[in-house]
Amino acid sequence: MAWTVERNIVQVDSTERNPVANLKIEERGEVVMVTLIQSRIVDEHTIRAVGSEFEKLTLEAAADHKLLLNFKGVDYMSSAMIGQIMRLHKKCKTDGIKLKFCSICPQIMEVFKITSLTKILEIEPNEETALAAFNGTSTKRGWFK
Amino acid sequence: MSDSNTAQHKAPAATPRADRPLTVLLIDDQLIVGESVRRMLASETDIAFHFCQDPAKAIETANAVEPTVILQDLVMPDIDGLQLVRFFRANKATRETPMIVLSSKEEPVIKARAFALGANDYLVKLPDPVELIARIRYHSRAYMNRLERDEAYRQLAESQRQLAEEVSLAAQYVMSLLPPTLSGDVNIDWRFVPSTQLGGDMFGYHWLDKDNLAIYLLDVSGHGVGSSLLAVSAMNLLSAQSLPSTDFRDPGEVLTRLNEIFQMEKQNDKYFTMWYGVYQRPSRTLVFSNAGHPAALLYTGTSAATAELVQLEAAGPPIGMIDGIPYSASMVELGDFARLLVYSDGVFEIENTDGSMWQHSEFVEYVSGLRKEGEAIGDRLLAYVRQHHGSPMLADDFSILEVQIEPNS
Repeated sequence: MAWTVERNIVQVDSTERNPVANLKIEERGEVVMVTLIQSRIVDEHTIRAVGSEFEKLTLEAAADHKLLLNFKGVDYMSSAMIGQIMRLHKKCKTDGIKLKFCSICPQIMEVFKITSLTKILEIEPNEETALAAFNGTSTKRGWFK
Repeated sequence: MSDSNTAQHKAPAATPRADRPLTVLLIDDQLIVGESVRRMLASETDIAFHFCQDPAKAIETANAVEPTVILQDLVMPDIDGLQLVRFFRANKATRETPMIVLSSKEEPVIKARAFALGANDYLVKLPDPVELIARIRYHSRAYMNRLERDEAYRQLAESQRQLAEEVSLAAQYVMSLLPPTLSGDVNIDWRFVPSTQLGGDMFGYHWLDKDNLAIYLLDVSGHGVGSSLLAVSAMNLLSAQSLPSTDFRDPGEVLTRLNEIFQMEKQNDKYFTMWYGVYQRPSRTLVFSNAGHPAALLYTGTSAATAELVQLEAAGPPIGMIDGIPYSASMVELGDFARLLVYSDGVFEIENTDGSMWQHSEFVEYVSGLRKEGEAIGDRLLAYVRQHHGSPMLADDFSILEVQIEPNS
């Protein structure tokens, strides 16, 4: 089933104060790759907006879909933003959506380590390794590593 | 004419009201002018017209009728018209009321002076009715819009004041929940600086019985009222030891139970990291569990000089993130020297003035250095963090507990 990105996914509810989408959504083969547009999201309102965009992502995604959250260019993550990430993680788990993360900067990686989230989230070094991991050809488990 | 009576007995309006009808007050010594203007406006049923022939009563009349625009003759006996403009501007109720000055001829210098004294418009009398009505409506509307805006602003300022007062009371309540410093064979001191008036950090310690001392610190995601409410709820459960069938001496059990109760979906998407430890005096051991919280730092050994750092790291994710998971506890034995630091990430997640962030490892190094110097760490760290951050107002709550456990006698 072709899943069109243009469908109402990134549209924020018109009642929201900030109608600008915070996510960039692209297709990479079978994988839907989502990139956060801003490098750091701190204000509560935008965090909520991102949360509802995440929700729409999972609503629109079919159960067999693969979601990659690319943190390229994101250099700070507040605790409230991590809350939204965990909501997405939980929703994907319930809906049977495979969710991976990639390109996390050392600073955020440290926060994930301290909070033990590295044990829960599937984190890949970069887009290539993440896409490969989705396709079952993870470079991590390769014979040559 | 009960209306005008009421108006006359009314005290001068302290603050102009925004909901008044469109009201014109004309001040002119010539009755004929008054009559002409009355006729010009007669067709405009929504415009109330008042005429004051005696300039000496101009202010008094204006205070009574609350005009939305004042028309004023410039040349009158016994008073300088420009002087009257000045009086109107000095009078509180008419300070902002639009004034159109009327004169019999066009004199640029007089016009300029009238504007300089606060007039808003100038008309040569008698003006064309169409133009006069248009100007009256224009000035009145602008004035009423302005009053509405001022009123809205005043209400906003008032509600902000009330809100600030409530937040301040809430902050006082939060502060009242924090424990007094502890002294004896266990000494505990703390520093707490919320980033907003209401923060998301909370901590406490109390003897569960004569042998076991519970020490805990939690940090709710986000800041402000919502985070603070969750922090206080969790804190109250802990301090009252009111978790059902939970052994508070078992840190793993406490965190497991809290995680069952405080799942983030039910807490407005908020979760918290938490460090919970129990010092058992007879065995001189520390049992702890950690839910996604920065490692507590334990310096222990036979003496201060030989003490080594043990980082008491997380056993699982923050409370509220993953439903139904168990948290395990770990145990460390304490040497004769034992000093424990429990803190929130606000003490090290500091953005330097150059935009880079302080790393946790750098923080540990800095604190270990202070410890070696035998310094009390809280104040030094706070000063350092403020200096690094470039402002006394921090981006996140700063909380640190310093626990010194004396050798068993």
